[in-house]
Amino acid sequence: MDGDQRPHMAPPAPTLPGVTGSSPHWGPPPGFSPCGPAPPPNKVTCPESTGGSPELGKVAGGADGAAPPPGVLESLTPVSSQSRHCGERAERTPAAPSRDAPPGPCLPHSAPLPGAAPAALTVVRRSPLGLVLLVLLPHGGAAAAGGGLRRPPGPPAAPGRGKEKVAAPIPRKRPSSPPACPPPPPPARPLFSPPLGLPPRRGDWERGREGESPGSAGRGPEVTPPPAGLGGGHGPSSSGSRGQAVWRQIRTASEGLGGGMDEAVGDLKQALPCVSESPVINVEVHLRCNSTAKREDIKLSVVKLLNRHNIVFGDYTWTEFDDAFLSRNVQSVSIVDTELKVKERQPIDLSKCTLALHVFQLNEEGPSSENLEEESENIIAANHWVLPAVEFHGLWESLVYDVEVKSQLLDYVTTTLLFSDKNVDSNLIAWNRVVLLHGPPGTGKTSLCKALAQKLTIRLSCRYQYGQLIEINSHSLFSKWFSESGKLVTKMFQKIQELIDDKEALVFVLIDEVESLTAARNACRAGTEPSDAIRVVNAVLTQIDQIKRHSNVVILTTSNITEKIDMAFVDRADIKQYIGPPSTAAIFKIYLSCLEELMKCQIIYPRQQLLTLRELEMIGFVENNVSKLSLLLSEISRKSEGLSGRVLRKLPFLAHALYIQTPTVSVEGFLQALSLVVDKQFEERKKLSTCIG
Amino acid sequence: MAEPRPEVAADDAQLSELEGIEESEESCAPQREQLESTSTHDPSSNPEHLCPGDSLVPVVFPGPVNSEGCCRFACELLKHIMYQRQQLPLPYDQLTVFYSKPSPQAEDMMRKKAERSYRKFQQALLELEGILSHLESLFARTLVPRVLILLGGSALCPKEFYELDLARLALGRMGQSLSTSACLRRLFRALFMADAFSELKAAPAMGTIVMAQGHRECGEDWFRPKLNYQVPKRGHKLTVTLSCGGPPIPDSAWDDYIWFQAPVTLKGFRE
Repeated sequence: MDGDQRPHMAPPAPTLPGVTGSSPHWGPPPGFSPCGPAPPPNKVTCPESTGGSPELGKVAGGADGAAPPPGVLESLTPVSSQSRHCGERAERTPAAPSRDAPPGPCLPHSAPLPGAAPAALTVVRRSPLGLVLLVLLPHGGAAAAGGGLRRPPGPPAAPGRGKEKVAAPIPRKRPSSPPACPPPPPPARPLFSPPLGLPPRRGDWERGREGESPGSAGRGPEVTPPPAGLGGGHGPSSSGSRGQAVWRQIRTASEGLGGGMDEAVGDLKQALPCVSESPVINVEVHLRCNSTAKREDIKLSVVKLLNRHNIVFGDYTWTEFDDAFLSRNVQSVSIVDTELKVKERQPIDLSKCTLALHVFQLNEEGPSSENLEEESENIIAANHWVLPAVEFHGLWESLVYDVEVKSQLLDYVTTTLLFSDKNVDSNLIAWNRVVLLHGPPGTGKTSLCKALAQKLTIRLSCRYQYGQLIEINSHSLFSKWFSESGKLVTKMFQKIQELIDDKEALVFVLIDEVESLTAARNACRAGTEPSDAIRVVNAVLTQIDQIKRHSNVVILTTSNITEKIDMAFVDRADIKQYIGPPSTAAIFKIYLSCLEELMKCQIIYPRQQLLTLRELEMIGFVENNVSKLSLLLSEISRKSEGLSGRVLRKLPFLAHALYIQTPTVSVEGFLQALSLVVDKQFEERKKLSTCIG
Repeated sequence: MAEPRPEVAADDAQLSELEGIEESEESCAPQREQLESTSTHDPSSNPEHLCPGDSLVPVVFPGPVNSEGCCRFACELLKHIMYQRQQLPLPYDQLTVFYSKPSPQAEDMMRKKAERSYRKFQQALLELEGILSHLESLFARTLVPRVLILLGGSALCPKEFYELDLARLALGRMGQSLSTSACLRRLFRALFMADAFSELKAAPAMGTIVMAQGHRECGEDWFRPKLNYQVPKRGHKLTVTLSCGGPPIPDSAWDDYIWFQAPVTLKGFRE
């Protein structure tokens, strides 16, 4: 097989990194049974599981390291019998029946328990360990217990046992507490490429774990899945987690019953509509430029490839393939944007996710120019790219932001398209398809616009055949003739209108430094602005209103000086996102990617693995041989705070040019040079400001 | 094959295409009648999407042709269009004579001209030569049902474009096919009779993109496959259809034929 190609594949569960307890946020507590967070078999979705319950009970007992106490079997019996017990148990463990409910946060419980509703504090006792869980219930009783419901469903307390009271919730008993709650996909997801569900399958190590101690196994899959959907998905939608819970339940049941269940599960999966609501993992398949294979064949092969890999950690890219067909046609297969919401890498169980495959081929030709013909002259008013373009490949990944700018932008467009598709009356709910990014220079506003256009073209390739990016040269729209500028703007937008008329294309209009086209009109009252400029603003505003009716257009604008922009334009922007200078963490990430690239090009040699900031945190910033260089880099990052992204990306170059000048350099030597060049940068800046001052 | 799209969208597209054809057939009727007078062929079976203002030049050959002939038709049409649309200062054949073997006078002239523009001419000529020779190898590899010559703008939204439809040609063996030069004469006669270039405005120097359809598995490595490409719907269009009078080949036969784009854009130049 291709063992060498998957360094991020999970090793067999017992050796999973992080299980040893160093990362409490995703490792379930020791003694946590594999079927723990799964709700008990639900009669509607999986009738066969009734037969499996004794085995499940055994598994749970084994996990606890004790003989199954009375009540284990009871807790794992199907819903019907459980609901019979509900009333009896209600006084003791008011939250127990909530296991019947899907574990999503804020999910309304259909039948609040007698006596439970007014309780603000609920005591759940767990007999074998004698632990008592205190679950804080906000108003609404069991219904509003939120993430707290997703505790490991230990067997309810046997009468007379476990009398101790614990004053506070035990954090390690709540592996799925709200911060780590699985973000369900956004409701708009089914709009995009028809999700390619993977058939239920059980990989090698998964099969192996059935035999071994279930207490240590099953941890991998229990971790919260990554964000999904177009925007990396988030938000309090219970449907996703419900689908997931049901799916997990089916898996649990099938594992309990053995291989014979597989077909039945497959059938069930197809019959269940909610399965398609499992988290969506976006897989981008980059075709070679000379590939002529059919998309369907490519998709099939990629699904086969992904089937061989059960767990991946965060974003991952395959570039080498065993399959001759794939290596002939595909440049890379990437699992993307799982880290947009959740900062750390998280293991993803591909079998539980819906895979959205986006197959694309890059356009190699550069920008063409859009000309406006005047009587005597030819004005190049815009540059025009056909997306996805080679030029913007990898741009999205290179942009590092602290706040969730990227996922917000993706989500914004998702909603825009959803509203257009559902024909929401735009007189009642207005949206303008205008995004305004503002902030200091060099923070990647324009790059982000271009990268977003590229990203969306790839993501929406099933809806739109191609994307078009039109970058308007705002300065060229000002005519030397008085009163002609407004007409030029109108002409420009007419051209754009022609492109929009092609419904196969997704059109992005990028107006860089938009303040030049939409300068505040009230400034002209003072007489400093010629009235021609006002006409330009008016033309732009009316043209934007014209354009917004079309569903396949997004207007992206950037600006450094927001206060100079006309209020009427700022009002029209749906998203006004501030893009600030990067924080220390982002700087560290940027430097790390720079060093990675230099090691790839063997300018930094020999190669040395550097730790990420997260890994440094995990070892508590302790200095040793492994972390020494990474600590130095984090020191440099701290020092570099205040520099813009553009400056940061050129510093490695300057470091080499000014302090190294040899074809190869060690990591340590390079970091020293980088440190020097950062100091120099600040020195220069100081001199510049004193000169000006 | 095209990407799987949501069914509704596909239906819509088909619908609009059908509507488009109906409309255009009405609006183009007078023009087509006039063109048909120059030819005996009945183009009503033509499935192409026609817009008002687009013109169609049907050419019927009285017998089968060979694949080298097909290549010649495409190459000669490209040269002709580039000259007619003012992207070349002289017809291609004269240019090659003029620039490749500079006579003493030409040499003097060149010296007078800026070195830079001379190099630009040479570069453009070399690129055109490259495309012609690669077209030849593409035709040798695969059947080419259609060739597109796109002027200005990008491949997706050109200012004007020319389509050569070879799908209805019957290929004969070497001995039995018509002579290529006779066919060429017939092709250009039809072009002149249709008077396709006279009413167009003078064109500025612009880029020319050449695209050709070929079989998916033909192993072409110079032309770049464009799996998603669709013939543009906007821009001035002239279609030249060649046929041998036989029954039309069903469209499904061309399912495995995809568009290939020449990786270079020919830059127009003037003296």
